[in-house]
Amino acid sequence: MSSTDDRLSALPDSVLARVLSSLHLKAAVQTSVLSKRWRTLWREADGVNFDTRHYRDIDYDGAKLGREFFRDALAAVGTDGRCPVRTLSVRADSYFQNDFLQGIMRTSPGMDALLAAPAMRRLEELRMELTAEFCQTREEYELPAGLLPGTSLQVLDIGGCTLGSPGNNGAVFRCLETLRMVGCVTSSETLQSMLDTAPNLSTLWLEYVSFPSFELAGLEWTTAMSMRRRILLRCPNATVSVTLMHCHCSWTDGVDLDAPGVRTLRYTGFLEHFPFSSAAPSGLPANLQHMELCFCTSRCTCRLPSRMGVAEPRAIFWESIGRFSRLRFLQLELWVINDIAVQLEQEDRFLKVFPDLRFLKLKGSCQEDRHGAAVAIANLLQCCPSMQEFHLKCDLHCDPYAFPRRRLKVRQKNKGRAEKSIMSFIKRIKSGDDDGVEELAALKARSFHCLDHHLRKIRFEFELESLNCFEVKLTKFFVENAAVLEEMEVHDGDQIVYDHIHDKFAE
Amino acid sequence: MASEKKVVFLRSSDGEAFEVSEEVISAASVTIKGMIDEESPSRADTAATTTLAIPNVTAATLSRVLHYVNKHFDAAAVVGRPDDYIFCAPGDEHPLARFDDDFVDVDNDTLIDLVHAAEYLHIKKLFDLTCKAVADKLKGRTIDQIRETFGIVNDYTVEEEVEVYRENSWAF
Repeated sequence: MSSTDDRLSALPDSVLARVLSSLHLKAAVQTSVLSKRWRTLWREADGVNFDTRHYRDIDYDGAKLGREFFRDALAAVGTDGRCPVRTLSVRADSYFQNDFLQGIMRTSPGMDALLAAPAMRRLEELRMELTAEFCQTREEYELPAGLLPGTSLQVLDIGGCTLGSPGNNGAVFRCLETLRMVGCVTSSETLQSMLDTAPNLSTLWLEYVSFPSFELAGLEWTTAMSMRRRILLRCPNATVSVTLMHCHCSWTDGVDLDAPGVRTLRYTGFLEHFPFSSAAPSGLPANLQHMELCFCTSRCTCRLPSRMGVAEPRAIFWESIGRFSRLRFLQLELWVINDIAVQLEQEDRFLKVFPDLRFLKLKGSCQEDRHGAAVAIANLLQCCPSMQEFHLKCDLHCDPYAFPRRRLKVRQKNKGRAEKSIMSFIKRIKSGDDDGVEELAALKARSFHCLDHHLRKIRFEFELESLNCFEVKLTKFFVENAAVLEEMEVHDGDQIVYDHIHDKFAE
Repeated sequence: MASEKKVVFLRSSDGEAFEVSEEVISAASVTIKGMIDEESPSRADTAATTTLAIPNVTAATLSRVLHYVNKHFDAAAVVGRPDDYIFCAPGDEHPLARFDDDFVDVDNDTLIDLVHAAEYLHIKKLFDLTCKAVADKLKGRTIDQIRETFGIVNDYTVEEEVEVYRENSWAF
């Protein structure tokens, strides 16, 4: 490579402008001194990124930093010959208390003036992330929805702020495809009015969004708890993917979705707040195929007095999830797996079949009730007759940061040998001791269609507590009974299974 | 059904031909899809496979590009079975993020070749990825370091350079 051959500068303007679009604004502007070729290129970059971390200000004076920051930002977007901005990202950080962030964001002219600049009229993507190291209320800055360029905006991705009311100017978000709010505050009315005017919204992502209620603000805690209401969000028909995580703030009793077009749901929260209740006016989404669920069940829900009257987790679980017969992908994270176990005599009442389900991932602890965990796994095997891939991750009540160190992967051609070596391994460690087989009674009591015909891949992760632990027995059960298994991975925290099998293969 | 998969051959500027599934490359490259659509009336009745000349891309670059294309646009390769469901939800960290990182971890010349190819072939994802990678090479470097890394010759006179600094003084 010859150092005199400047191939970078030889790239077309449009390409270099794209390169500069992903740089921080200061860095992009600095390239103007590289050579004549670069003098005005930064003005052609349609992506502009502002970040307060590039303003090294040692004073504890957010307003001062804010004045500099927005003075430069406004000058940069107002420069003669600057092309319209297509993507704007603003990141403001406070290493201090939230008042520093407030000082930055409440500068005038500031964020609002930036959004109102002529270069922003055709803005397609706006990302804004506000963080304060301490005491962030997310009310340090209120982004008025009415200021957003509704006619062109496709992506709105905001974090750490309040989304303010669109006002009465009749803002319409005709092009909006993605709305993502993380750690934000808003009112359900504001959010609903955005959803109502965004007919093409395909992805809605709400994470740690809280909906304060002025009615409840002055009340005593237990009274306020009992008066909380569920919020109903009506999504446009175009919405195919919804993420709702940690939105169980103290002001609301859960969020319900009316989203008939949803195909993917990601939900983290209380089981009884599962966002599709039968109350949704347009009914359940008929094509929901992909669910990633993380439920808080017994342990945490029982602690709260207001939840004493709530039905058993297994009843809520099967009644909520069982209605989605088109599911193809289910990822399920529970506190304890036995929470969803349904005993034989109640199977007809609770269990529902997912005929199309191909992939199941189950995560939780089996330790509280191993017998119950086996029942729950048997329930799921029974309800997923065409499952092809099963992942199981058993949490121990041990170090949450422990990480499995080794892995084992067996391809089809080795399946027989793997089976034999696991068998001999298990035989050796069990040494004729057959206690605790009844833990797996629910699995051994019957045959499963998916094991006989479809299950091709399993992946188990667990901390090996003892050589004869439940998880080893479970592994053995799957190896013995999955007739068409092609691939298995075992991640044991303690590498004993791995080492043993490794020895066997090395023979 | 699987046996009827059509393939096309792409001939690089230095004359090497690469085989690729027509479906996969059409999904990836707007340019090649256009070429295939232009060709298709004349080849409807022949069993012969098409060879398309890609005059601006060398064999070394083209093989890299096709490696990328097969990873990203061939659903069958991603999951292992053509009819299978892709286990990836929108918003997930993309399962190919690692692959992408390694893919652009190359020297400057190779990277710029990839930018050219992605632009010419109109493969948006690859274009975005490679432009981002170029930007990453500029990040955190001083002006002198950037000049040195890419062999950029400073053709300003001293007066002009002072003028440019003055023009954008706030950024320094």
